Amino acid sequence: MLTALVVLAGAGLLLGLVISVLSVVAGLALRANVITPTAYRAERMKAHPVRTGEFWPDLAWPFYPLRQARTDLARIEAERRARYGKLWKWPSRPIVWILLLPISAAAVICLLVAGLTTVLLGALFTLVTVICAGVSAAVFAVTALVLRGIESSWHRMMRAEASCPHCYHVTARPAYRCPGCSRLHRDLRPGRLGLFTRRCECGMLLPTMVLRAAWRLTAICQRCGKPLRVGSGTLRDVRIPIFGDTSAGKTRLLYAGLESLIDTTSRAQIPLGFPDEESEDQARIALDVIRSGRNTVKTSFALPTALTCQVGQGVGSTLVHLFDAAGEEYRGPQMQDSLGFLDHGNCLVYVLDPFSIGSVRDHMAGQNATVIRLAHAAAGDPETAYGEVVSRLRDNGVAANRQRLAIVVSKADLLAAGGLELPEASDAIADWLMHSGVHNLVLSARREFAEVRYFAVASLAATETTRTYDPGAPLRWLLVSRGVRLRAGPDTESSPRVPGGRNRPGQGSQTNGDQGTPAKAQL
Amino acid sequence: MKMPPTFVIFRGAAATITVLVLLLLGLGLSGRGPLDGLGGVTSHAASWLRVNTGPANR
Repeated sequence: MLTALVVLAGAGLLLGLVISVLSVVAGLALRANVITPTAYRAERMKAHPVRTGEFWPDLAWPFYPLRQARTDLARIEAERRARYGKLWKWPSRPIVWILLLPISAAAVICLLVAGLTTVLLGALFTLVTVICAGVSAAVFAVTALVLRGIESSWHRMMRAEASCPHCYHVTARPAYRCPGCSRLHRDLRPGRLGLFTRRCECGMLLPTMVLRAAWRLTAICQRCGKPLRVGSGTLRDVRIPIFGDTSAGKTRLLYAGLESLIDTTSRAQIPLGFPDEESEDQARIALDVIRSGRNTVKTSFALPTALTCQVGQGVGSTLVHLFDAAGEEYRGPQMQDSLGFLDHGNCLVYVLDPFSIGSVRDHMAGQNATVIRLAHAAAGDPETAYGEVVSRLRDNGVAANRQRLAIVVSKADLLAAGGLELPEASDAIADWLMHSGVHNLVLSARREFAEVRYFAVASLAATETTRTYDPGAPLRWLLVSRGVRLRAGPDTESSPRVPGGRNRPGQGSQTNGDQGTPAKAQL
Repeated sequence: MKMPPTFVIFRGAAATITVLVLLLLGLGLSGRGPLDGLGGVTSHAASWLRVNTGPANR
């Protein structure tokens, strides 16, 4: 009797083993229930509905232990139940089995043992899967946190951001376009969709982390969907809006400042390039204008696209975005909508046309009328554009008291030609402005901004004989304040040399200018 | 739709580990391998069966 029971148990054990193996094979391979990226996204959105202003989650395969493992176990269990359940469907009526009691009793014993075996084997497989998934998920979570920490530390340390040169939106993490299907991936941080890489729904493997994706994928603006500069989000990002009244000399200052910057970096043997063709074309036009001595054309009313240059090389380099809008934009209500770059600037340059100051104009009129004609003086009050911008910053909650402002008195060469030599030191220029009747601007700037420095500038090419009024000085001061290296040695703001190589020992600390003798620019 | 290879790796790993655990248990019950202590259970059960299904009980 006991022997028969042992034989029946052995048969049940074998049957249970076969059912378990078949269930696992069917559940994992033949009839697997796969959670696709679309299904996973739908689940996530059901659990956490997307609110206004948020983007839909990215379409990529989730990490196996976080979602698919659960589905696989459920599928195997369903297969096991279905297979085992079928065994209990007797081929004949119950009365027949009652009449054939010894046989049916043996079958029941065999099936019970088989059922117990499948349960035990299923439990073992579940235990193994859960332990594997748990351990991997724990390691995964810790690694993801470490990687995210590394990335955010990099962003903090480098002041790396991704800013759109077209719509001026600034974000720490741009979106990236999948090279396979052009679908946007808006959040490439290590997470549920992958630790070091993620697989797009189309099957393309994408790197995670902005630090890795920046050089392999096309960065896209999260807001307007236009391509960003190469390296955006990884490199130090410095945005410098240049504002001022119509004809104040903003565009010319931008062009000449860029030329001076190229000159400075080439002398210090620091590479300066342009991240893409668009920037390179803009720069070429700018440099042509400055080097040929032509007048700049009137800036169009269209929204300005940043002129971007890359100072340095590799991951330690800096993307410098220079913004210049038409002076008319700084007046009236349209400024609120169109000059978004002002809100995202790291520092500001205000260009003041000295010929728009009444007392200067009067002085010049008595001396040299030709100079006034050449100056194309700005018509408006020099304090108007400044006041509008400061009001805008205040209204939009921009912390101007954490920013630096370079106040640039332009056309210094024309003033000199008219017999009015501007001082070079910042404090002396401020005093001169105070005495010239622009005291409200000077007092307001001192109050509103973290640091203000004054520059007298002649927006001429680097090849000009005199560089007393160096147009690159304001940019250099602002860039150095953002941690940009512009010299071969350590940067020091407190001991700059006076432009043109004229050192003035003992002068106040806020002398404007920097180092070295001028040399030919490379571009 | 191309499934990530990690899915296959995880599934394969879970199945392989389960089979390995079963093999270890089986070896252990036959008195071999790292779980050879389980061999005592087998010999216990075998002697019990011998006693209860032996000729004296027929």
